[in-house]
Amino acid sequence: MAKENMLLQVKNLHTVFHTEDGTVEAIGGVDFEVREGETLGIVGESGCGKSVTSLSVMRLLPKGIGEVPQGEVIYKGKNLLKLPEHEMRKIRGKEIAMIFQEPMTALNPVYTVGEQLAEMVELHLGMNKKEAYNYAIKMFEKVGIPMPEKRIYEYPHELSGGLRQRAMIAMMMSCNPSLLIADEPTTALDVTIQAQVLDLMRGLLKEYNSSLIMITHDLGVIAEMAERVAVMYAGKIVEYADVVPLFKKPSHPYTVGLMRSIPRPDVEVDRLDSIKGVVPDLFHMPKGCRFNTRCPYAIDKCFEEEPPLFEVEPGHFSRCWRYAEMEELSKHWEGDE
Amino acid sequence: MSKLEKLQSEKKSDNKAEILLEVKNLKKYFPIRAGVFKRTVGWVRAVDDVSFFIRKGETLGLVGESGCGKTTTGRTILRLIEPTAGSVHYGGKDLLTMSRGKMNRYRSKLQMIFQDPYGSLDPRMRVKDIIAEGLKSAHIGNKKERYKMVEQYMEKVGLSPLYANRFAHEFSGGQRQRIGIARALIMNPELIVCDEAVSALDVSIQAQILNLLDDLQKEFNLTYLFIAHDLNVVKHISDRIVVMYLGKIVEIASKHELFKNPLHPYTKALLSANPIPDPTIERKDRIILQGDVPSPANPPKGCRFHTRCWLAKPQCSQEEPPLIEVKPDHYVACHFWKNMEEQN
Repeated sequence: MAKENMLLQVKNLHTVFHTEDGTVEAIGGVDFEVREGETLGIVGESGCGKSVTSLSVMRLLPKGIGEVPQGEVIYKGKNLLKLPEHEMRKIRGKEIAMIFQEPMTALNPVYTVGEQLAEMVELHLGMNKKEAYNYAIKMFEKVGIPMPEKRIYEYPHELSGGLRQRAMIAMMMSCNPSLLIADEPTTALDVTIQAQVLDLMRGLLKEYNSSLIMITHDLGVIAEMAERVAVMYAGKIVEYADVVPLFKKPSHPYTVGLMRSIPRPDVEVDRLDSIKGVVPDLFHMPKGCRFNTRCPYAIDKCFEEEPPLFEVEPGHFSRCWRYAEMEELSKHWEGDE
Repeated sequence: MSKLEKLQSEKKSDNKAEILLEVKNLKKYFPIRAGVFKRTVGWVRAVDDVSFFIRKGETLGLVGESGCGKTTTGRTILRLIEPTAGSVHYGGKDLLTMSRGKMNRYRSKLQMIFQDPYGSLDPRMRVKDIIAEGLKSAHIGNKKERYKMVEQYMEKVGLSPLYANRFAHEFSGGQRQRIGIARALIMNPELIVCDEAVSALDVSIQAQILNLLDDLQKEFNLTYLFIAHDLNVVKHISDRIVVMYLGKIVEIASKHELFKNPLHPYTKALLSANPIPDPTIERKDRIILQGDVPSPANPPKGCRFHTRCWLAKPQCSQEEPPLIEVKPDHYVACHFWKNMEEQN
């Protein structure tokens, strides 16, 4: 592992939320790294903490409610969590940009899309208004928006879902960020539009040599986009590996279950395997391994002690006491009756 | 369409199962109103001349992207939305020309499960009353008998009857969808229209619900019209699949035939856009469609897909291709389906 091209290192990140009913831990110690030009996929189901992870990295947690009591986010050698807010503001958008699931809520409805892009480049790249507008047209053209010189004067609601996401991507790429964080960027889109947007993102990442953290629940999107994958469950990373070994040899029961429970276009099964039960809520996390309530392979130890991340193979980690047996165990799966 | 009808009547004898429900030339136009007087200035042709049938005991998948009219089709069949034109034959009767009162008697046989497990359950009602509501309005049994049935059906869908007195918000998404299924099932229906019944759920829960639907189909000999945008889910659960684009059916085939030999360019593009959860598969054949779906208020002339089709020829922008049966049980609406077959 060459450390010199390391872009982002997240170490032992904890995030808590102070709610009316008490304080809950949404993320309980997350570690991952992103190298230059690399795409990291974070996959998990709703409530697993994947979005909170990205908001913590960007320091966009709701003030007074969300807090990061512990951990480090090292970006290009600087700990972002220790930076004063005005320094952080220079990083957001310029160095690290974010794409959200629903561009309608991420874009400001009372400004035209061109204004919003122009504002950003005026701020970060020091262009004047005219330059900024020309630049906006150029960026819109780049992301494949037809008639960009007209479209920049439109408001977000006048664009279709696919175009809005393209406008969002144009905005995010406009300052040539080193790292993009995309939170379910294609979930709200139809599959043919999703294919367009993913294709566009792949092209831009290559052109700009930017890194990407792709947050999604869709294993298909992960398989297509990511080089390295972190699987999250109940606020922890349960498996962390390169994409091919992860799909070939999933080494955590949750990953195994996730892969078995999706219907696949290339494989025909009579019955899907499912993961029994539901995700435990944050107030009532089980003792020991957090997956023990749903795991078909749980043994006594799993209910007593939380497993650390074991290295299954070089670069392939699993948070399971029985990781070594997983290949054998995963031949049989017991989900819902 | 007469050819389709003829073929269907011819085939009745050698069909594996009889036809339960037949939709013919179904249309639903929504008015676009504008101005102070709310004059109708145009029509959104959400469903435009759609014909298909559902066989007894099968699952017919209905796929398409947002705005293609799949939900409107499902709702119009059950007359949750009144259609503009067409017919829906069920048990020898046309549901669409029936009086409201008569239609209501048929409703118990034709049930629906909705997408949103949060919005489709009344938050002020107890679960037992939600599930028993259909029985009550159909005057079946007394209160005690109804609650007894509720308990039985809660067990059938994997909910503990102990939860009967709770409210919908106390349940997770998957459990709510089970409540919705129990509510439909308790009426002893023949056909259930599942409108995006699993799309709002996480994948591990989605699998639970798909398996449940599968079990119930076998146990109660149900027929499903399964409306969804997720191709993988539709492929898993369906026997045959209908593909819609911009208010029209573009292709109907058995799922194996459709995935192996798609004869409409849109179907092919849709299948190739579908990400496969396997990083070792390189999709060299991926077709990336240009542009967006046109507005159904102003659909393109001729074939509605021609603006995005890579095979389009001048004929396609002039002449609308009819839906024809090109092989047994494989219908397609494309002038150049033969070229597609050669490519496959």
